[in-house]
Amino acid sequence: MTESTLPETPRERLVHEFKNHLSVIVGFCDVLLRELPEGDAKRADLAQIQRAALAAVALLPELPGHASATDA
Amino acid sequence: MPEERPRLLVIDDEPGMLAVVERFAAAEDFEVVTRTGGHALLTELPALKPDVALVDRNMPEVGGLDVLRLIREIDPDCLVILMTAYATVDSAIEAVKLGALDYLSKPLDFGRLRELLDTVRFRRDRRRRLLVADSELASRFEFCGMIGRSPVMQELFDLVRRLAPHARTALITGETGTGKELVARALHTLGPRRDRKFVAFNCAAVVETLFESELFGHTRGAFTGAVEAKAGLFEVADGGTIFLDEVGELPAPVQAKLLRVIEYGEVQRVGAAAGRTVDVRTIAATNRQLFDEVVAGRFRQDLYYRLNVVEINLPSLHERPEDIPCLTAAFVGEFAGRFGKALAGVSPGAERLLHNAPWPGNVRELRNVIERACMLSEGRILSERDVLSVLGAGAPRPARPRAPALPTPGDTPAEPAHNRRTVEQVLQQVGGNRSAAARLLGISRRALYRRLDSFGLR
Repeated sequence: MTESTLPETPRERLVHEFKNHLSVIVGFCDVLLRELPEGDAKRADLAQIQRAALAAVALLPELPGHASATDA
Repeated sequence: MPEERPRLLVIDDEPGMLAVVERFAAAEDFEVVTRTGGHALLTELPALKPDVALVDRNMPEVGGLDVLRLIREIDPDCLVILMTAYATVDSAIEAVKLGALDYLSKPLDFGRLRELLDTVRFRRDRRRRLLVADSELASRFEFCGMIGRSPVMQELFDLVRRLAPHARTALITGETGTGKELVARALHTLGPRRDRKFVAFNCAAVVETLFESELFGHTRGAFTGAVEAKAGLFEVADGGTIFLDEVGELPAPVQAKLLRVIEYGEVQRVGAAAGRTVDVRTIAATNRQLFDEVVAGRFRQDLYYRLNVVEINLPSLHERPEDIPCLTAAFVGEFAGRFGKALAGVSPGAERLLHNAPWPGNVRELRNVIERACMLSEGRILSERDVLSVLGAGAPRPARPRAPALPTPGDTPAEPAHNRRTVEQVLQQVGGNRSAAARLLGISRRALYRRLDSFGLR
C-alpha cells in the first residue's frame, strides 16, 4: 500500500531537499535560542543564522520552474 | 512511583529533523523515540505505545499518510501530527480526514508544536484523572466485595442489608457470573451468624451418589468405603450458614431430605437410625429458572416455595452497563497490584470495547478479561488492542438465549456506518475473527454479517 509522496520532477525534489535542510538549521536556531539566557552574546549571531535560513526558505518558490501552487 | 513522561515518536527520513525535534521535545519534558522510516512500525508500535507521533509526509518507501493510517489502525489512542515541506490545502484536509491531529509545514513552527504537545499532555493527564475518579467511585460503591453504582445494584445492596439480620432461607437467582455467592456471603457477614461458619457447596460439582453423605454425613460402614463416620456439611455449618450453589442440580431424594432440614432442622447421616438437630441458615442459588424446573417436575414444589420465601434476583451485567467503568477500574487496580505492573486504567477505545461487549459471563467474565489483558499488557494503560486480543480469545460461552434478548448498544438504528475498507481492515487485523471484529466496530455480529453480505465479502 506504499504510495509515492515524493515530489515528481528532479527540480521539485531538489527544492524539497533544500527545504528539509534549511528546516533543520532554522529548528536548531530555535532550540538554541530557547536554551541561551537573555543577554547572551551568541543570541544575536543565532538570530542572524535563522533569519538567513528563513530568507532562503522564502526564496524557494521563486526559483525558476518551481510550481507556485505547492507552497502554503 | 515517579510520573512517567509522555512519549513522542518522530518519523522522518532526514536525520537532522529527528535531531532537532528530539532536542526540542526533550526540553518540553517528553520522552522521544525517533525512526527514519515507517517500515518496522507494524511490529514496533504495540511495544512503543507512543502518546503522540510526529510523522513526515514525504518519505521514500512508506509515505506519511500510510504511516498515519497504520497508527490509527494499530493504536487508535496515539495522536498523530503530520509535517511536510509541501503543504497544500488538499493534503492538509486529507490528513485531518484520516484522523491527524494537525498538519505542520516545514520549517516547523515550534510555538505551534509546543501547543500541540501541551494538548497531548493535557489529554493524557485528564484521562488519568478520570481513571483515578473511576477507581475512587468503585471503592465508594463497594459493598461486601460487590461494586455497583447503578440504581439496580444500589437497591440490591439495600435489600441485602435489610434481609441479612432476619432471613433464615433465601433463594438467589441470576445468570452465571453475576455474583450469587458474594450475595450469600454478604447475607452471612451482615447477619447475626457472622462469627460462625459459612459453608459453600456447589451442587453441580458432586457425583450424584455422594450428595447425601456430603450434605448429611454417614455412619461408619454405611456403605463400601465408609470406613469412618463423617459429619455432613449441615453439621459442619451448625450455627452458621450453608450456601447451596446450583441448587437446581440436586437429585429428587436429596431434595426431600433438604426440605426436612430446612423445615425441622433435622439431619440424618446415611446409615444412622436417628436424626440430629442442627441450626443452619440455608441460602440456595440457581442460574436456572427454578420455577420452570418445578413445572417440569424436576424440582420439588414444596422445597421451591420453602426456599423462595426470600428471593434475590441479580441483574446481568448487560442490564447495568453504567457499572462497567468502575468495575473495570477496580479489576485493573487489583491485577496491576497482583502482577506488579504500573497500570493506571484503560484507554477510551478499550473502554468503548468493554462497554459494547455482550458479557454473557457477566462480571466474572469481565474480571477474567481484565485479568488476562493486565497479564499481557506492556504499557501504562490497557489499550484497545490489549483488550481486543483477550476478548477475541474469549472464554467458552455459556448457553444463553441468543441475539434478540441481547441487542448490543451498537445494534440500534444509529449503528455506525463502516465502509467496506474499514470492515476489511478490521477483519484482517483480528485474523478473520468475526465476533472480535464486530466488537471492534461497535456493531453486533449479525450487523457485521449483514454488512459482509452487502459488500459481497461472505
